[in-house]
Amino acid sequence: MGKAIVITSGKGGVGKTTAVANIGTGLALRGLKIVLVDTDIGLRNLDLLLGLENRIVYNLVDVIEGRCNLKQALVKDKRLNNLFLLPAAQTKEKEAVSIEQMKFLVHELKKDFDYVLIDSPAGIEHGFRTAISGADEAIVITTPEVSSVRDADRVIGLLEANGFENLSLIVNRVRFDMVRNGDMLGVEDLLEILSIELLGIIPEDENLIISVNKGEPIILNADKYRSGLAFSLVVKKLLGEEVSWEELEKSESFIEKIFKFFRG
Amino acid sequence: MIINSLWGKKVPSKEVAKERLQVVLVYDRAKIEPKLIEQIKEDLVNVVSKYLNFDHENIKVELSNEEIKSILRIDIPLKD
Ligand SMILES: Nc1ncnc2c1ncn2[C@@H]1O[C@H](COP(=O)(O)OP(=O)(O)OP(=O)(O)O)[C@@H](O)[C@H]1O
Ligand SMILES: [Mg+2]
Repeated sequence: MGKAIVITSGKGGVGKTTAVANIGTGLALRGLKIVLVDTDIGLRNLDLLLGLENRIVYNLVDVIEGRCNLKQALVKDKRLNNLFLLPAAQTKEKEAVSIEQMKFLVHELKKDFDYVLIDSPAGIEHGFRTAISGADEAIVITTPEVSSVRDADRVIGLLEANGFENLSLIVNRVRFDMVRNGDMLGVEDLLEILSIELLGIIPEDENLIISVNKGEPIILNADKYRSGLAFSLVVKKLLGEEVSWEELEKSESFIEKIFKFFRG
Repeated sequence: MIINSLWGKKVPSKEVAKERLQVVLVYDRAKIEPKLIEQIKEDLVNVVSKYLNFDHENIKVELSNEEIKSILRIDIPLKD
């Protein structure tokens, strides 16, 4: 039986889908069998981040409403044949999937995959409650801004109330230069405020825009881009390996300078 | 405010953010609106001053999170 992990945040646009695409790809690069479930019904994006938007035939709601079976709805990744996507429906209401149905679906997927990564919609309503319902563990993602941290705290409270124990935090869009100048909450501040374990630190990185343009998760270029490296460290940590975050802060200035130099 | 400018030095904005967050999360977690604490304070001043002599300025009503409970602390230093 595999493990199901939900990635959630409360606040919208803080990087849930980006994280799911990259962590999923990173785990698949390690040879594990991975399925990514997009539960953001009506606002699907995970397909775009993976470059799989043209390969979708069926979606999650089709499976639930019996128009196809689970295997038929899974879209195989372009690059890695041990990575799959279960796309959200784009034209349905969030309420199209019930908590019971999601639990059943995730349970079925866990039989075939090492990891089931669930991309949650923003908010704390039905879509969020459905997304977390089948998961064994939860990853909370926040940016270092007060509004996002406050929402993360709310979500942490709700997850705990729902029996989640192993919560961990990804801090996204960190600007080390601003942290150094005292103009951005640092990772230690966030861990202290939220009392939660650290899973990863992702720097602000404009290269992510390029990677989304191409439909190519940036972790595929972990050697070139600091956010790619950062996601590969998340994968390492998730697999229980030793991780040093200093490597990342150093790489920010170092790798970036080199690449900026070569790109002109 | 705990954070004040020292010798005219500007307080890093992240310290302001941290303090504001810590305060707001105490109320969020307790599901209490900050204004309510003000009202409790006013009521307390009225009740207690019927019986005891104290400095109204020094009364402190504070909500804090400890472990899994929220605690409302009331400090009323009495006059000698
Ligand atoms: N580290 C980063 N550096 C720069 N841009 C980023 C970073 N992380 C995310 N973004 C950008 O922020 C935007 C929102 O990201 P994403 O779609 O992953 O968020 P989300 O939490 O899934 O949003 P929603 O709540 O709408 O589902 C995207 O344009 C993405 O490219
Ligand atoms: Mg999303």
